[in-house]
Amino acid sequence: MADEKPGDDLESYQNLEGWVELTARSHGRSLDLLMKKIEEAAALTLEEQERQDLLYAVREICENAMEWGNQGDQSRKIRVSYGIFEGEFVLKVADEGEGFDTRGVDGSLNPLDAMFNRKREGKRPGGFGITMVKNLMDRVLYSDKGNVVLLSKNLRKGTQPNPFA
Amino acid sequence: MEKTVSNEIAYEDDGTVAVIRLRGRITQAVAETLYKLIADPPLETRQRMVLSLGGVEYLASAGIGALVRLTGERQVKLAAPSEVVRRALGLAEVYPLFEVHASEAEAVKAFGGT
Repeated sequence: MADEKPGDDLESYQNLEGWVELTARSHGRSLDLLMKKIEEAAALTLEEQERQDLLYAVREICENAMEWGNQGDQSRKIRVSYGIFEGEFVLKVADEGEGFDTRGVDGSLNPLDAMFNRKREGKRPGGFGITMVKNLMDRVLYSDKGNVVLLSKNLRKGTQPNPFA
Repeated sequence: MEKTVSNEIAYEDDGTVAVIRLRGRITQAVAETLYKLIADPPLETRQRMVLSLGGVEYLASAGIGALVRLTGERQVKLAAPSEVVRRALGLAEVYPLFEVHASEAEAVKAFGGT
């Protein structure tokens, strides 16, 4: 059941077992609303630097999902779910795209090679987001298809009661 | 004289070295504006550039991409990067690519200017 519906930009669901799910359209206003929600949740559980790291990583992944996954199509949505499990802040980000070749995210392609590949392909400058996210988070896992990402950040304070349950 | 491009970007160009000052939140949109700035006259042919980064509060990966690509195409020196910038470049594993100076004046001087 939706517990909040601020216009059509962001929908929020609180489901079983403490997972919170947000659905956002692929544009900047929705992303800002989504990030505000995650920032509020992170403030309950993470210390300042961890919180900043998590927010940076989530924004990067969500921007990727909107720009590359959903091809910037504002009618397409991304789904972000999060919760706390065994001392980790866990997030799942899914887009409605066709996925991408994840070989470049397993460390086999260095960021500079990825960047020059982008230039050859006529894409805007970039290609460092995933490297940064992997350095900011404790775990980053892509689905085989590449359109779902799981991120987790260990809570330094150890296992805490789930404030979303 | 400094020319303001946006809230986040301004530059000075003496015809030899361009000093581009970035401040605030360098998002993907700002990075695109930066890249357009250097691709258009009068900076399209300027080979020597100082990027002054002391006022940067946030640097998205798209901004890092713009800095790296620019470094591959022109002679670029970074001046006074904020702690946020240093950390972001470190996380992206590209910090060693850049020549970093403590101030704009030092960076310009390193080009042989004053």
